[in-house]
Amino acid sequence: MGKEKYITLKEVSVGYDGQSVLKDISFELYSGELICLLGANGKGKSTLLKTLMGILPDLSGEILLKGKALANFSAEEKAKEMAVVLTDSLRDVAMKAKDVVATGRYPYLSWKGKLKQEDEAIIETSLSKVGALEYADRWMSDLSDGERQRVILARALAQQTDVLLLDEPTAFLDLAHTMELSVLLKKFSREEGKSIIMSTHDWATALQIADRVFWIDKSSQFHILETEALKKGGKMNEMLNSPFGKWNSDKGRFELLIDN
Amino acid sequence: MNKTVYRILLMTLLLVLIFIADILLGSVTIPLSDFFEYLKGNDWSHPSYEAIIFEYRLPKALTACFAGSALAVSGLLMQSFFRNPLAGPYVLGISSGASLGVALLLLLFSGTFLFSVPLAACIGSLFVLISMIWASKRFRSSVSLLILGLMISYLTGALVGVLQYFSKSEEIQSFVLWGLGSFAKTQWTDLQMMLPVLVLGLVFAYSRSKALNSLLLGASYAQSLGVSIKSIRRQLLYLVGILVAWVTAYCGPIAFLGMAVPHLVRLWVEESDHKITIPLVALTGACIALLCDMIAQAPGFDMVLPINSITSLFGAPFVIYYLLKKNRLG
Repeated sequence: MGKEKYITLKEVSVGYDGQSVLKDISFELYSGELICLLGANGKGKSTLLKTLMGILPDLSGEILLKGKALANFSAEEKAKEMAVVLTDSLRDVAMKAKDVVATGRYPYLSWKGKLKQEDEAIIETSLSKVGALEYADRWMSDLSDGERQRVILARALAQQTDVLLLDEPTAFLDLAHTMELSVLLKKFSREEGKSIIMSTHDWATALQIADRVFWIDKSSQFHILETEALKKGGKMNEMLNSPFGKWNSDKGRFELLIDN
Repeated sequence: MNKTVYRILLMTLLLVLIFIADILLGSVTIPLSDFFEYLKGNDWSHPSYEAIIFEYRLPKALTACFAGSALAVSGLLMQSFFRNPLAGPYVLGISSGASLGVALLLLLFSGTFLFSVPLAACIGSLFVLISMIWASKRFRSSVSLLILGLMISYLTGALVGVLQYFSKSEEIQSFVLWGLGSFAKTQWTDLQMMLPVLVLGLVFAYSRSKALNSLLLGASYAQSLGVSIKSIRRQLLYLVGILVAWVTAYCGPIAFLGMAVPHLVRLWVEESDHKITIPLVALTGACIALLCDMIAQAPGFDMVLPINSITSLFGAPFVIYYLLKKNRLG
């Protein structure tokens, strides 16, 4: 399929209450592309994602969604283009898994919020895509972290958007579930042409699934890096900047420096 | 969906039965056969029965019904909005705020006019609600919010105490009587003003079901689904403020009903969809209020117990039980 430009940022600054956290970000995001957003905590990963979601207003610059200014989208229109996975684990939400996924259909429903047969089918497909169909009728609080994260991802899928924004979706997950989620996301971007941006601290996974890496360094500079180039070069060690480990570009993996 | 219709029908039937029981039972017990005879167009077996029913018990039962519904639905809305299972009009001090408004009116300006009591109650309840919304952004834990609600109740209680100290004894008496809570003080003319507001409020609450469901996921998720947080927050603020104030103005503060009924419903139906829970909570609230009213006017006794004591008697242990148990809905 041809590549379509989904999101365009031109010299955008993001932040809270007029205080910018990140300045002059420019990038283009295409269909079928998976981006990993790396950087230390408090450097603006969540702020950038929230601005893209339209939850926070941008401070300056221009954000385009499919060629149209993001600010000109109504809240409902935006909800049909972009779905989100936030850091909230939704453990304390008094809802059943399938009702959580059903909220993904809300942008398409009238004020009455009545699900049509078609919506029910989409909810079921979304649950089965992430392998969560068997516990659709269970309460969120009764699920494990891994199971809950599948449900939360299914909710975003049910929204049937071209863009998917995820804020540290693997934070609560063990290794097996992290791998599962990563593979699923890669599949959605490849097979369904979704544009995905996920923030993460998991560099090793990022290098395997990301088409490009967006990196926010210690002085809040925004860098765009091609994953393949990153794997080969010495840039990785500069980014890592840790006395306890290094990137071995020959073996293509991180190594701990235990004996030094 | 069929299950929901069946449940709503069941609760409606139960409500009708309790309603009839409530208007027949009391210090004077009216035989059920009389009621059926009356439906057929015959006279009551005793001439005073008609007056007892139409001038006293029917307005009282209607008041209980709608006050119970309104408080219970307010409780549900607050629990969804604050994402806190212990939220409710009484526990978060909203009823106390309304009381303070009424106290200021009754004790400072002893005269009242049309709508002045509900309006004073509204100002008081909105004032507390706005404070609680402000506070909820700063407190994460549900228990802190609960303690703040209690403190607000104490504060308003203290202010009312000071007001009472400087008031004439007749004014104090009318305020104290009001504060005990009663469904029996409303005349037909009061109902004409009370019921339309409550009915509109309940319908409006139901129309917000979809946004309320999204709010269960938290403000950010709701926003990502196209809900305008600012406008839904404002709508719920006024809705809950007016519902609670209207009930409080006509019936006095009624404890725990708003908090407890949504939990009773959740114990029964495992649903979180407000399209289902709002009607069920409204019907259950009406039933519970009528049951409390029946206990208050227990047959064989010549007096009527204060409603507030009865709802507290059941409500407070319920909260304690809930805190101890803290089941999965917590």
